[in-house]
Amino acid sequence: MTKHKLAVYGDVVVLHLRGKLMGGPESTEVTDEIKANIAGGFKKFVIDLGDVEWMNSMGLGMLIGSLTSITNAGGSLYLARVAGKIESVLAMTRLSGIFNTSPTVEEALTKV
Amino acid sequence: MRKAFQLTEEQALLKRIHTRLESVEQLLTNGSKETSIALLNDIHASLSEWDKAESERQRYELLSEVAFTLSRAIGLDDILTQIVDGLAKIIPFDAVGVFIVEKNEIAAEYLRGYLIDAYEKVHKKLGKGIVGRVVETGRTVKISDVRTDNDYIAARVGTRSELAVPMFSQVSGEVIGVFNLESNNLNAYEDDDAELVATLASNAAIAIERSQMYHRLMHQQRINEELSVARRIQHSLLPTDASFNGLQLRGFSAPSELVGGDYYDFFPLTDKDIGIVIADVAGKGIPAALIMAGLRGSLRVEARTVYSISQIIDHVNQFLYSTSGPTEYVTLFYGVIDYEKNILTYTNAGHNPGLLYRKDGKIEQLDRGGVPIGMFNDQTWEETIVKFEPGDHLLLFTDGVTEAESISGNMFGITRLLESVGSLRNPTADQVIQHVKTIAAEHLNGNAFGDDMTLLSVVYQQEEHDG
Repeated sequence: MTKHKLAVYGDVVVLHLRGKLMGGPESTEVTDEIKANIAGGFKKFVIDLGDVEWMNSMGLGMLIGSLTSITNAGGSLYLARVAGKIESVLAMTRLSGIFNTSPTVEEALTKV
Repeated sequence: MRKAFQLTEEQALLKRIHTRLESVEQLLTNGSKETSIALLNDIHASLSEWDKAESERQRYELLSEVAFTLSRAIGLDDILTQIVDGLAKIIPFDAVGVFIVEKNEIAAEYLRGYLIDAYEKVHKKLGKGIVGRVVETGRTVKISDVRTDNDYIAARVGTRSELAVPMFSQVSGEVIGVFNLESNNLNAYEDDDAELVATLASNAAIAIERSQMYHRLMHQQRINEELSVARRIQHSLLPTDASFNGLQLRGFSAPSELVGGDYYDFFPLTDKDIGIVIADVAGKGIPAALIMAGLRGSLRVEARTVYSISQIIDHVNQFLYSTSGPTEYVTLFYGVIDYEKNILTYTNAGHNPGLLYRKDGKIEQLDRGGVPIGMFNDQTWEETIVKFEPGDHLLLFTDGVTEAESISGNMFGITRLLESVGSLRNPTADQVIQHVKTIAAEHLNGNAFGDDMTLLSVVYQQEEHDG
């Protein structure tokens, strides 16, 4: 079961995701969280995927949904610490180019 | 609960009455008037006691009759009618309402003795009036004069006394209904009336809950039947295995649920080429199956009218993008095999690589194209041309195959597909499919598939091809 954490650094919202992104209720939690923060005036988001072990098509759909909401609101999103399975899924689906990525959360904070 | 009056007690009573009657006979001939009257009074008392016992016994007999009838009723309307019919035989009332309560609302009701325009007032009883009080507290309410009770909502002009008894679930113990009896007489109901209604209510609860369960099962069964039809329809959308011009095409698709979002397809385009596709809709079950059916239709139409593969995918992407949300997308491999020129032109939209096993033993991963379709409306897909010659074979698969998880949590992985299938010498398309199914089943070792699993094998036979 995924337990997400949310932190705010200045004007950037950072979501630390954990466990498996398999399209369960936690997916809606993440998109709801992002929508709520957009509504709250935030435009810069970082999703930290360093502690995510596994992601399926639904999890990927969740990331795309988040990117769409943020882009439509004129904001920007960085994926931080993309590695292992997540990296290979993004590579296979050729979505690596769609997302801005960065090796660390700290770097993402400065770029986003 | 009070026991039914025993027959032996009744017999003793009758015997006593009989003895008294004999004495009266004697007294009437030679006794005093006063003694006769006293004895007659005594007889009268015994008779009314007997009457009471007799009526008590009858009520319990009726109750068990009602319980028996209820045990065979299935429909809720039927049950409620029988409850009220049974109730009318046992306890006098001028109006009755049986309310079935679900989530604090009336889910069903049976009313008798109310005027139609009083209907609204009867409804108000739940939550506000006496019926509401019974639901809330789970306690019987007996009112000897409704004019003195503030909670009473007058749904009838003539009502003077009321009895409201909770009906408890025989499963959860919660209040699932209320029996509400109204009488035009003051003090119409006694404690033992309440007990009797409570006994009837518990029998009714069994019948009602059984009926509810029956209907839930029927509902589930209907859904299952509809799903089976959907599965049949979905299966009929898959092409029949084919062989022509040296090409063998075999597919396999197993949804993890009754229907799924995976599919494969192939269709001749001209007299020298054939379109092949494998696709995986994000998600599972009915929603994925619906997107899949739309995608299949859209792709077939586009493939017949448009030549360029990237344009076809672009059109299908626009269709999918406009009909679905950003989280509903499809990964897909679409290719056209030209068996005159021996080339395969393909695009891979975020799908697992197509595996091209060369005659000389080399394996190519066909992974060029673009992002999955349905996500964005500003993307393009590049097409790539590779040689596809006699002796080569192509395997397309969905991630349900490579991500098949063994009990210990190991993924099947792509390496196994590359090596194991690569070791087959001049296989037929049937052999390729069977081989992958076998090694995947061995890997799963009895574990269930977590995802839809689909395969398409295209073998370009060496000997049968005439060039």
